[in-house]
Amino acid sequence: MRKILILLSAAVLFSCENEDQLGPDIEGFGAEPVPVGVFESSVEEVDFTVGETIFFTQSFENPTQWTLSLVGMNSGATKTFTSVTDALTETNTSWDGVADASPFFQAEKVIATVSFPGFPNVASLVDTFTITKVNGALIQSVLFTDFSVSPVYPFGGQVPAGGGWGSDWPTTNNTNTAYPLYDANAYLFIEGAPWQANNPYVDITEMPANVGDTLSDTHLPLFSDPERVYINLAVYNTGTEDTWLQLQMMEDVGAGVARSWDIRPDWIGWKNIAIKYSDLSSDNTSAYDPTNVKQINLILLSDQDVTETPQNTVSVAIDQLVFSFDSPLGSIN
Amino acid sequence: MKKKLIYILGCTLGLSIASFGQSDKVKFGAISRGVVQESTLSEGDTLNPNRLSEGHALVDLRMNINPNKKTEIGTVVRMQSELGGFFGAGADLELRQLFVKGTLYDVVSYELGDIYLQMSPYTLYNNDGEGAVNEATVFKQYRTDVSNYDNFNIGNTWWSQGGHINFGLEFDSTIVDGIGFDLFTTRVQAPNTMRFMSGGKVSAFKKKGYLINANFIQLFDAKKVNPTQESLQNGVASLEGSYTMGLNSNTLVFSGEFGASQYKVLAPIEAAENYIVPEDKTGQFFTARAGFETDDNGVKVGARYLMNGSEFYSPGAQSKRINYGTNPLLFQNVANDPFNSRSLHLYDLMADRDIYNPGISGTLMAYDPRFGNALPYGLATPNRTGVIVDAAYTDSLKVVDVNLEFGLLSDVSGVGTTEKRSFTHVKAQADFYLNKILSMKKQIKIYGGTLFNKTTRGGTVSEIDLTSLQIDAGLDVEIFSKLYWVSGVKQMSANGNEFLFDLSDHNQYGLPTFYNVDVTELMFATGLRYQFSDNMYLSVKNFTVDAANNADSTTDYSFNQWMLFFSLKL
Repeated sequence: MRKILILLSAAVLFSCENEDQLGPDIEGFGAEPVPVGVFESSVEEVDFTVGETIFFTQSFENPTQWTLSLVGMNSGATKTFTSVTDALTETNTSWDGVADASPFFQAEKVIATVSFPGFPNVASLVDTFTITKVNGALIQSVLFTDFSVSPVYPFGGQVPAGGGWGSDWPTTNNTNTAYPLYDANAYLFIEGAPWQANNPYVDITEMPANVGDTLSDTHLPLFSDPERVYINLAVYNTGTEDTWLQLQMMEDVGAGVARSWDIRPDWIGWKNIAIKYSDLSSDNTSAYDPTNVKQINLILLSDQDVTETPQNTVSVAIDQLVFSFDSPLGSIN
Repeated sequence: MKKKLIYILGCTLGLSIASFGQSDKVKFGAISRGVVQESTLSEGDTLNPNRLSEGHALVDLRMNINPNKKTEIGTVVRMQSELGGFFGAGADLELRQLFVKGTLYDVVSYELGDIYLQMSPYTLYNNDGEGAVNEATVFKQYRTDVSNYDNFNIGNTWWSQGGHINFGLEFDSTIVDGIGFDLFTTRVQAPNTMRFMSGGKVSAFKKKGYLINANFIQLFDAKKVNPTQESLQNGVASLEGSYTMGLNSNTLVFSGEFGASQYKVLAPIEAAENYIVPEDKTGQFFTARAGFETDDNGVKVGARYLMNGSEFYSPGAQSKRINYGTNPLLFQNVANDPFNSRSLHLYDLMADRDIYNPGISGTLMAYDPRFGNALPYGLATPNRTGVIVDAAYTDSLKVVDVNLEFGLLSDVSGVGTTEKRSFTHVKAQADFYLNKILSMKKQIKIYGGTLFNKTTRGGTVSEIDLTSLQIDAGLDVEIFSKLYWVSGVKQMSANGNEFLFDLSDHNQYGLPTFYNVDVTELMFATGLRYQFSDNMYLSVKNFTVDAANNADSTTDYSFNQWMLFFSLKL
């Protein structure tokens, strides 16, 4: 009741109190940017695992709208800062290594560019620096694999022979030649035709929580609440008809319980797919528990009538398998 | 003064479904529909499949259990099957609604579970979505029966989960006939926090006289849930009233509301060293309307003054029904651009269930100036002042029904500059029953509406000149008994510039986006509807959808869609 009276009193007493202006001054955007001095990064190399940060400096004659873009030259990851100030400083450009979205930065060379929206004729300012180590703990999302050097932090483990995920099928491999890259490196490519009678199965790529832990005692370090865990991946539609990709999260219950999601590419090119863990389907009635996941399977199947012959070849490319917490990285599916 | 307790109907609304299979204790009802769509994209696009076929069939099975005369338990279970599902893939069974309601001591009415709430347009009010001004039935049925229904948008109520009670006192007095009390608390979806919305109103009324409501509503985060998470508190209090008096045989109606809001962010318990608490924001509003109605209700005219403070924030009244931050589902990437989704089209506002916003937002949501720049948050739009006049006419034979609205508004505070924007707002809609002129029994209805908004502001860089026009028209003809030919057209054109600000960071004005637009969108639909009964129909329709960007024709697109739609409500 006291709050109601205070608010109503405020309405009566201050009914004419309003700001002259809301938001930053638009008129200040009219002047052409005039950089003063040199654009440079605070360090040439940065190790984010020991708490280091990096920032950038550049002055302008007038308040200027600027955009600072950081792009990983290997990963393709991006981080963008934008503001209207008369200088880039530690306050407005300090960076701890976290990308805006998937893909994530790796230990790599990064190109930093300052551009000026609305003034395409003013030359952009460019500098480079190198990330020596990435601090994955800072990221609200964790990259399970980008299918280039697998697995990656923080899941540890051994890299299978050949650098890819395990599959004895010759056309399942990590490649970067057939289709446009999702990030700046390889993706997983699975291809084949059903080879068993009356069975749509083509191939499976099994990715245990720890590659070296074949007994699967290791589980993925995910939140226990299935409502908070999202599985994100990029899928490329290669255009083959009847392609059916099934994602399976194998929980360590008895002989293993599958929570699955079916993906049937009907788009062109790459698409970001996000699935809430609790939305996965399962024949098993036990409670969903993401902390109990011991393995991820990517199964290629065919939607073609199993009685038809011949069975056509289907294929799909997959990249950037990422877990995120509390929110998906893209539109939920 | 004699008083007695009475049961007062609250402001909540429930789905009204006739029931079948009834017994005293258990009643069943159902809503069922089937949709099949075949969409074909125009040539020239290489990113999207050229044809998409999709659809679904579903049944919302409603069960109402009455263990006694004073208690009702209601559930709605949805069974849905997607067209093209494989071995059960795409089939869904979900609990859509669950509530318990009843009365205590024949005095207090209560509801728990899924409830629908509405208060005044400044406190808790789900404004209609954009893209429709008295639109044609061929569009409206899908918007109502699918998009709004699936997203729990019933009238101007907000669907919520929580509890609600109301009760009242009746007086035998010349001053007051009754006083009502209405209280609720609900849980609001929000990431990383436990958010609630609580409020209520106290009403005093005199039948055929006055009504006074004292409203209060507060959106707030529970403390100590997440020590690293800040907490939001956004309260609004208002006093609204209306008074009706006779003038000869006509009626004068006076109504108004005034109040204030406070937006406050509390720092996390474990705040980072460099954490800066966002500034508190207080805002006020005042509105008053005087109206005149003839005794036969044939003519109604009125004038409203409003002054909404520049930092008046009311989440319950300003949350938008459409989430303009989402991308359309159908043919998302056109113009061979894999990275940028097309803008929401009039078609998407009508047909895309996934772009609808299901709940209350803690910050002022984005809007799209193409669909109206003067009052994007309805009557509660912050930072507006001015006058709106309205008029309505209905002839005694109900042949013509016309509604007009004309507003001249301006900013209260300049946005991005000290200079203020001026808004012109014109809204008109009309229904014309031609069959009554021709003395025909079978219905021939011609109808439509238009919304015109113009925004101007002086300045050098900050100059604004934005015009938007939306036109709806419809024609319903009863060809044979129960068989209707339904058709309609929609057009939206917008031209000019604006500056849009992102307020998603604690309602603080971020950097402006230079918004330039020169587009025309067109949608034409025609089809047949067979009305088996009042609550069952089957329709087949064809939609032609077209979007033209006059500044960059490479982003133009068009598509055609056939739709078979069956609806049954039992």
